[in-house]
Amino acid sequence: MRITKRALVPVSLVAAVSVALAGCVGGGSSGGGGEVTYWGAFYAPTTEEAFQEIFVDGFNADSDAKVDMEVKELTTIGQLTETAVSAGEAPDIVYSDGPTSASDFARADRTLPLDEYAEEYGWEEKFLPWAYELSTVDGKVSSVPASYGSMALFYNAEVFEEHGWTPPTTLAEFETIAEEADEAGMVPLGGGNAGYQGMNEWLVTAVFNAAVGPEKIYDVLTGEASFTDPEFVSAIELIQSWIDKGWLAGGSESYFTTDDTANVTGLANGTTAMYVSGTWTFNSLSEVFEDPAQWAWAPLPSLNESVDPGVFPLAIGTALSVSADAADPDAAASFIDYVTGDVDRALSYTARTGENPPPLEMSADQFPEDVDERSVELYTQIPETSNVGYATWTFFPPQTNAYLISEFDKIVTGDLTAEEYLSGMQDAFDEEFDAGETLVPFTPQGRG
Amino acid sequence: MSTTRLIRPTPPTPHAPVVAAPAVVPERRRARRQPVTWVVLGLLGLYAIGPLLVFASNSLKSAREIDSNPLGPPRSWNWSNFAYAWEQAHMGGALLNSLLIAGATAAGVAVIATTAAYAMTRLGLPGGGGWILWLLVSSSLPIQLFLVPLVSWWSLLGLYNQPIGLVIIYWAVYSPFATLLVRSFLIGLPAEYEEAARLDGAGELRVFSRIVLPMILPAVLTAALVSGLQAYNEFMLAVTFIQDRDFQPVALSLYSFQQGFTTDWSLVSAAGLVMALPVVVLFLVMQRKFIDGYVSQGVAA
Amino acid sequence: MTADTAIPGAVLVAPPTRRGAPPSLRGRRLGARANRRLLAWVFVAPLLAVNLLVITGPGMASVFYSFTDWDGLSTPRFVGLANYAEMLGSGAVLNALVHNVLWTLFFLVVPMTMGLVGAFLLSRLRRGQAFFRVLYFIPYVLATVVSAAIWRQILDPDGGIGAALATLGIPFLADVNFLGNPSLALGSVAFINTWQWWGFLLVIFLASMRSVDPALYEAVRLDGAGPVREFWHITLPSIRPTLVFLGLMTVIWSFLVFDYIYVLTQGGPAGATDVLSTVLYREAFQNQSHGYASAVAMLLSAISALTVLGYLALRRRLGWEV
Repeated sequence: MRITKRALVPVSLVAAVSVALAGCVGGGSSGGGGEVTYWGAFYAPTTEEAFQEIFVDGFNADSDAKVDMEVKELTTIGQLTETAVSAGEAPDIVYSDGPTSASDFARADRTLPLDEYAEEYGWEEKFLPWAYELSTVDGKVSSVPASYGSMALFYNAEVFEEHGWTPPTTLAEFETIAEEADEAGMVPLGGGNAGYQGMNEWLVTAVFNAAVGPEKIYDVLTGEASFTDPEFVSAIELIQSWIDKGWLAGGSESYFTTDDTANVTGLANGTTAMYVSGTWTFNSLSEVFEDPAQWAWAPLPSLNESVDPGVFPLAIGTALSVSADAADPDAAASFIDYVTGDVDRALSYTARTGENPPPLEMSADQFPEDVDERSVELYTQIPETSNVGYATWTFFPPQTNAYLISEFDKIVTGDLTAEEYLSGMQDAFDEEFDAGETLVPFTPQGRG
Repeated sequence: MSTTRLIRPTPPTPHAPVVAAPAVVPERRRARRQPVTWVVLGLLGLYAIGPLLVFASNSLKSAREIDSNPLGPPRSWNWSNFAYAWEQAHMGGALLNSLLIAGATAAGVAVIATTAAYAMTRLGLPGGGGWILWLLVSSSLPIQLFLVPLVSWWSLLGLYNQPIGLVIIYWAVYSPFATLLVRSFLIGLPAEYEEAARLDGAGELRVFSRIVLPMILPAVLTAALVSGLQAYNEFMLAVTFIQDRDFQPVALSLYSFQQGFTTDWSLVSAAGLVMALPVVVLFLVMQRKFIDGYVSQGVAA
Repeated sequence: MTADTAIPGAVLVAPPTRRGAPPSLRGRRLGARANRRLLAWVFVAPLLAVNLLVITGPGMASVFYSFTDWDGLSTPRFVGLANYAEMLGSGAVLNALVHNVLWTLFFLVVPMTMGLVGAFLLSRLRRGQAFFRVLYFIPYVLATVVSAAIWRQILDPDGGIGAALATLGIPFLADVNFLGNPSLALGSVAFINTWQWWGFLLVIFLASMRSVDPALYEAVRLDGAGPVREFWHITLPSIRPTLVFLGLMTVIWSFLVFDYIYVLTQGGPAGATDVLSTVLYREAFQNQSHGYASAVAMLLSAISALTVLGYLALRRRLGWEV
C-alpha cells in the first residue's frame, strides 16, 4: 500500500526533466546547410508523384539546396505538425491547414517572420491582396498561402436535365428544386458529418455567406456587429427548417451517419440532388462519377434577398511557414517561393492533379489546356467577382471555430435554439477578439 | 533439480485435441444431451462470423457498390482490390516492419512483465499493494496527452523516428497489464517446487528459469500475444513517432485510401484483410501453446 | 487459491529430497535473502525504467500542466485551480462522465457474461473447441478502423441490417439509425466494441477455467448438480482471481475508452457518445487547451486510483490474495 519515499525520488526527477524538456525545446533538429525537410500530404499517389517531380525534383535540380520530402496522410498532417512543432521537432517547412494555425505558430515564435523573403521574392505583388493580408501576424509576414479554394453547389448535370432543373440562384428557386427532389424520393441537399465533424462548418460557411452576406460577417469579425443579430438567427433557422423537412442529408439522424463519400456517391447515383461542398471535392467527383463529365458546380444561390447570388466564400487550404529551428531558412523560403510563387509552375501542377492553385494573380489564358474546365471557370470567376466572402476555418479564430463545429450538432438534433447557439458563438468570439487573437479579414469588396 | 520432475499424463500433440482426463468423460455425454450448449455457441459463432463475412465480401466490392449494397455479396468480384491496396499502401514493407515491431514488443513485454511479476510475488519486493496501485493508475493515464513531451524527449535521446523508440513506448504502455496478468497466475502457483529446488541448492536465477518459467509459460505467452497484437494494430503512437516512410508499420496503410475527405472502404477492407491474415495464422499455429498449455502444465489462476 | 489445490494433469513424481540441513544453512539463508532482495530490484528495474520514462514522468508533467494555461506552444502560465474549477462546473465533462459510467456498467455485464458463458460452455466441449475459440478470437485481431468500417456498413440506415431484415418481413429495425440517433448511439458503439472485445475475455477465461481441478466438478456432480450449479459453485469461485483482475481492468479501460468512439461518432451526435477521452482529445488538439486537458487527465487517474484503492481495501477485508 505504501509508496516509499525512495520510489518518489526518481519519479519526481523524471517529472522535472520532462517539464523542462517540453518547456524549452529546440536545437535538437537535424539537418545541415542546404538541406530542407518538408512534410507533404496528398490527395492520391499520382498527386504525390506530380508534386515530387514538379516541385521537389525541379527545385533540387535548379538550386544548390536539397529538399527532402516525407509524405503524410491528409487527415493526420495537421495534428502531427502541431505535435512536432510543440516538441521542437518540426520539419524546416511547417505545414498549416490555414492561416489560423500558422498564426498560432508565429505568435509562439515557432516559425520565422518572412518579411525579408517577402521583399526578396515580391510576394506582395504576386499574391491576391486578401490572401497576403491574412498571412501577416502583428504586422509581420508569417506564412505563405499555398492553395486556396471556395465553396459551391455541386450537382449531377444529367439528373438536373432529366427533371428540367437549372442551378438555383435564389432561395425560392432552391426550395422549389428541393421540394421536387424530395417528392421524387431523392435527398434534396446532401450533407452530414460522419467521419469528420468539421463538415459541419462547410454548411455553416455556405449559409452564413449566402444568407447573411459577407458585409455583415465582416462587421462581426471586426467587432462591429454580433452573431446574435437577427440575420444570423434567421440563417440558422433556415438550416433548421431544412432539417425539419428532412431535406438536409435526409433528416436529423442520417446527418450523423452520412459522410463525404456517401454524398459524392449519392450525386453520382442520382439519389442526392444537390451538395454544398468545397473545391476540394473536384477530385472526388471526377473519381466517383462513372462519367466524370456529368458532375457540375454552380455558384451558391442567394438565400436572402439582401445578398447577391453567387457569393464565393474564400478559404486558404494550405499555408507554409519556415520553422524557427530550420538549419537553412534561406533555402526553405526559396522552396516555398518555388512551390507557390510561380503561376505557370503552380498551374502545371493543378493541370496534372486537379489540386487547388495558390492565390496568385492569374488570368484565364495562363491556365494550361489540360486543367479541368470546371476548375478554370471557378478560378477565373473568383478574381473577377466582387461578391466574395469568408470561410469560417480561414477567418474565424480557433475557439470560435471549434465551438461552431462541435455545437452545430445540437442544432441538428434540436437540442439548441438558433439564439442559444449563436450567443455561445459570440461569447467564444468576444474572448478571442479581446485577446487580440483574431485575424484581419479583407474589407468586403463592395465597400472598396 | 533432478529430483523434481513433472510428467504429463496426456502429452498434447499439435494435431489432436487434448485427451480428456478420466474425470471429465461423463461431460461428453452431458454435452451431447444439452442442445442448449450448441445453440448458444452457435449464436455466438454467428455473431462473430456474420460481420467477418460482410468484411470479406466488402473487400471484393467496388467503392461505389459498398454504398448501394453494403451487406449483400459482391455483384462483381474485384480481386484487383488486393493488388491495388497492396501496392498503393506499400503494404509489403509495412507488414514486415509491423511484424518486427510487434515481435519486439511482444518479446520485450514478456521479459519485462515476467521478471517484474516474479519480483513482486516471489522475491519479496517491498511495496506490496503500492505496486498494483502504481501499475493500474499508470494504465489509466491517457497517452495522447504525453505526445509532446515524449517527442521532444525521444528526439533528445535519438529515439525519435526510430522503430526501437516506438517499441520502447509500447513496452511501457503494454507492460502494466501484462505484469498484472502474469502476476495473477504466479499467485496461484504453489511455491513448493521452488522451495524444493532452493533446498537443493539451485540459485535464484536457476529457480526462475528452470522451475517457474516453464510452469507460467502459457501466461507469459498470453501476455506477449496480447501486447504484440495491440502494437500491431496501434496507430496514434506509430504515426507520431515514425516519420520515415521506410519504417512505417502496416496500421498506417489503412489510412492510405482516403482521397481528400472521401474514403475508399473497399480498399480499407482489402488492406484490413491482408493485415489480419498473418495474425490469424499465427494464432492458429500458436493457440495450443498458450491455451492447451494451461491444461498440460497446470497453472492455477 | 489454497495450498492443497492440486495441479491438474501434473503429477509430482518424487518428493524433493531434503538432504539433511547443513550446518551453515542459517548463514546461507540470510545471504540468500539479501541476494533475493537485490534480484527483486534487478527484476523489476526494466518495468520501472520504461514506465518512469514513458508514463509516470510525463504523467507527473501533466500534473504540473494541469495548473497552467499551456496551449501546447507558448510558455505555460500558472493559473492555480482554474482548470479544475472550470472542469467541475462543465456540463460537457459531467455528460462525458455519465457516459463513462454507463460504458463501464455495460462492459462489466455484457462482454463479461458473454466471455464467461462462452468459455464455460466451450470448456465442456471435447470436440470443436479449437474451432470456436479461433472464430471468437478473430475479431480481436482486427484493427479498430477495420471493425468500425464493417459495422458502419452493417448498421447503415439505408442498406444495412434493418433494411435487410425488412425485406425478410421483419420490419421493426427498418428505420432505426443506430449511430445517428442520439439515444441509441452510445449503446451501438458499445455493442460494436463488444464484438471485437469479448473473444479476448473468453480466451483468458477459458485458460483460467482449464486449470480448475476436475475433481471439484466430480464432487458436485456426485451430488447431482447440473451445469448451472457447477458454474456457480465451482467455476466462478475457482477463477475468481482472473475474474476480479479483468473486472478491475474493465473499469480502468472503460474510463479510458477512446478508439471506437472516436472512429465511429467522434463523440456525436451532439455529445451523445462523448466520454472523458474524447473531451480531453478535443480540448488538447482542437481547442489547444493542453492545461485544461491535463486537468481532465487528472480526473481520469483519480477515478482509477479510487477504484484501485477501493479494491485493495476490499481485498484486505476478504482476505484475498490477488
